[in-house]
Amino acid sequence: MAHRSASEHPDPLPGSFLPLPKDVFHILVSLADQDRHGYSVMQDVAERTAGTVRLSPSSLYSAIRRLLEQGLIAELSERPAQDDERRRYYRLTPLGRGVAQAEVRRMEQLLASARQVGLIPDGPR
Amino acid sequence: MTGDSAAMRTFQLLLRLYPGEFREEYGRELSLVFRDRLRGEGTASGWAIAIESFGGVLREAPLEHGRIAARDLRLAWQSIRKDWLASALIVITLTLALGANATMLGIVGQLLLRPVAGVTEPERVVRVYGKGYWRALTRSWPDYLDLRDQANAFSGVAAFQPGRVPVAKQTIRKLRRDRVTPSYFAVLGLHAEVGRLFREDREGGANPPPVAVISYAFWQSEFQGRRDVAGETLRIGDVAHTVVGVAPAEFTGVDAEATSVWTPLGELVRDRGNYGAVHVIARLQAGVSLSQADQEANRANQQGLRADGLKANGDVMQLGALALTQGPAAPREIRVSIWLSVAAAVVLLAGWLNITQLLTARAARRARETAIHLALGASRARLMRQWTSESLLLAALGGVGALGILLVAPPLIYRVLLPELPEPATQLGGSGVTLVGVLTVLSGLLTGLGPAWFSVSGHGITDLKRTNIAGEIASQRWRSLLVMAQIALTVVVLVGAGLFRGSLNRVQGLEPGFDLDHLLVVHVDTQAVAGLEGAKLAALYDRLATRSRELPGIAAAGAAHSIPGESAWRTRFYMPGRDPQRFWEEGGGIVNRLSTFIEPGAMKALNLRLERGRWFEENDRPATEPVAIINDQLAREVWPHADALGQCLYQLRPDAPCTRIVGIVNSSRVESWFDQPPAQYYRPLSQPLREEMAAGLLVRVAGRPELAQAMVQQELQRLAPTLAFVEVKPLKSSIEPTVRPWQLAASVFWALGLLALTITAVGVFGLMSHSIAQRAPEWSIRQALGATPANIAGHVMKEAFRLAVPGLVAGVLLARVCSRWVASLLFGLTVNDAGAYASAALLVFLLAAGAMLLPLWRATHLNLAHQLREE
Repeated sequence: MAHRSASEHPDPLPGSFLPLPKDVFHILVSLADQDRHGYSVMQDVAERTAGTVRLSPSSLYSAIRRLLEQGLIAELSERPAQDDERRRYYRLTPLGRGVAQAEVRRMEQLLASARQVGLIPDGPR
Repeated sequence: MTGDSAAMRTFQLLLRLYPGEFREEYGRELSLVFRDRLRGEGTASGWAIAIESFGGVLREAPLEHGRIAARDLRLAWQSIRKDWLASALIVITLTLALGANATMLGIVGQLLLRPVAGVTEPERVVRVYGKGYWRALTRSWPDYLDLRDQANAFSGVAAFQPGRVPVAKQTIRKLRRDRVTPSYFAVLGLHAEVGRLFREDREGGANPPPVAVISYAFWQSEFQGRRDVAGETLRIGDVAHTVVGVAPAEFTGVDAEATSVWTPLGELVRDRGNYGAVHVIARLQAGVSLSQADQEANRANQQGLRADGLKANGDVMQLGALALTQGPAAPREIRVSIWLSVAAAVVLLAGWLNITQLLTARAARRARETAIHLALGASRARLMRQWTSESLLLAALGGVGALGILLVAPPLIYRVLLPELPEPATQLGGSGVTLVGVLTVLSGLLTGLGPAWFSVSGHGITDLKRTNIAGEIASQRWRSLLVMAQIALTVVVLVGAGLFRGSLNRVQGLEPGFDLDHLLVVHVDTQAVAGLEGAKLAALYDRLATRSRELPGIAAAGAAHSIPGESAWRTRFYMPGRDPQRFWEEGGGIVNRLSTFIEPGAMKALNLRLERGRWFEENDRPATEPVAIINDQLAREVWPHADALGQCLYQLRPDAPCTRIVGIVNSSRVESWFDQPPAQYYRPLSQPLREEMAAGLLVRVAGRPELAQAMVQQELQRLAPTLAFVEVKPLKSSIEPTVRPWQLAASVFWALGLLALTITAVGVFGLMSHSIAQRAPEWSIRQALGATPANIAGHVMKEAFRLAVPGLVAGVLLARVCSRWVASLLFGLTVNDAGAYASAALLVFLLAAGAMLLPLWRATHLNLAHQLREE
């Protein structure tokens, strides 16, 4: 699928975006396995977090606008033929994938520190 | 869910809270997602989801506005930095203009609006004013009694006598002490901070006890704020007083000078002729208006006169604001300050026009860039918002600078130009910052919206081709109009400056009639020394006069009963052959004129001009023939057809012995500085009429009195007993307050005029530079075809004066209209004074000439090859 990006930024380092706000991280994770439209992202996040994280339409699209400006996601110019043409689909960009991975590594380091001092029991590594 | 459509309509309505560009981009999708979320939900769960979504909009929409504003400010900052020179000019213009306005508006607001602190319902408390030079602020004791006892319009009337006395507790200082009637604090609605205030049953009567109420500040500094201060002793003058209470913290008296101590007044002598006995204040009864109380007060006063067997006179009482700065006897500085605020507003208007002109020029330079943005889909609203953000940011920078001016300018103005008026703690309080904030936002919007609209209106593909001739012409015309308007406003301010400068020159040029520039006046404050009065005080002044004459650099010295500009007495004499029951002005024989009892040394110190006859001599004693010296004004009035020299005055009674006129001197100003010198006569202090005694010394120095002041004070203090303060000051210092309003007006008007000139010069320069740049190719070609630099210079000058002349004419006409409003503040000239208009016109022409020098040089040094390459 062809895609277009609203971002004109030069390539920043993924680490410069950390730490990610919670909503942003879940949006990037949701787009990590497939391209989605906005409502699909909301449903996926709610399902993935068992309802503990619920994105409102307003906060979702505010975040999407920022992510487009930062170049972490891109809007697709094509969409599935059977879908409503008014829906816009988004894809995770390589930069966005790198940022999400960097955030995961950061959280893993936090977990490791907590395990070291016995705050939480040792878990699968 | 039932009600889906209601929820959807509500959601779409709420979407309008988002900025337009966000709504255009994501509005449809948001609506789709909202619809999808509601699909299949029941009523209760559906409404829960709807309300959560509504909350999301209410939370996120303001944040989107904030993000867009932040982006606009970032872009505005980049644009300001790119065009840093024009931006700096704009910020400096706004800093000065906003600072000047905030300063003057703040000063005027405080003077006119601030009530006397601590008083309950200050709008219901009035001060009794009067007409006439010596009656403007004070009344006689019987006048006060008339109001207290006869006027029904007041719930309370009080009187007070201000003064400065030595007060001794931990330190001895000379402080303001008000002697007040027992009703004083009740009329003002005050309650004691500690102890009690005066009461009729305790401090009333002819001989009240020696008690005192002290101010809060005095209580803190001398008694460390001790609650057990009541009963403590305080030495005021030479009398020990018992402190009975402390005044409220915020109350410092009803005048500009803060009062430290209040003592009971007692009862004064019933003397209707002593106009300066007391100040009178009163609280209006509920439901009584000021005009009703005014009428009632005058009725009561006239009734009192009739009861004393006196004819009703033309003396009129006038009730006014308690604060002197807000009443009919307000210092002239107040009215001048108001007009200075107006002038500052005119300068701000000129500044706004200039900034609008500069921003319009910037918009014209960016026409192509704007056209590209519009072609790429940016909305006009978005571009206008971005332009306005730029002007608001520039205004904000100017506002910050204005706050800096507000911090330093008002104290300077108060200290140098308004020293007699109360200086507030700071102008940088909430109201000052609010004022700067409001003016800043107003500046940003007024100067930005016009150029913003100009930048987005009427632009199209023609701007991309850079051939929008019509747009260029429209821009140039609009900017020319703005510059002409600036010139007109500058002329108005400069004419005002010229008129006040002219008034100041005339005030300063008034001849006093005596040697004001070399005179010192000496007073001995004897309030702390028991028994130093009458003959003992006269003997002390005699010793001081003798010692003064021995000091180096002293040309003459002597004592006088009244000092010019400080006090004046009238003593009547009679003319034979005329009705002794009627005044001279009515054709009778009573001549009531200013009289001064004075020593020969003091007359010599005044350095009057003896026109005929002789001076007083040491031989003029009580046992010799009574003599007098009159001034030429009195000679003209009473002996218009005869030689006054050798004539007789009959003092106090028609059958009194002859007082022979032995000399005639020039007339001098002793009372009001601005009135014509009055008719006056002098008597030797050695021949008192009613025990007149020395009230001060006049000392003439060879050089400047300020330089001799300290030496004279030190030498004379040695002769005075301990606790008797010898005060020496230049006599000029008594006159200076009368000159101060014109000094204030002339100084500040000129400062504002120079500011307006600078602003307008920038405008003219900018416009001329732009015009030259636009016509550079044309002139290059003309030069190549044979036009001389002189030809081109002629064109440029014609263009500059085409701007200046209409602006000048409009300014002169506007100044003629506006100057009528300040006519009453001028002295010695009319609002049509040619000098003021001529100097304003000259400055404007110099401005136009100066502002076009660089553009003129550029126009006459164009390079055709370079211009063609640019094309």
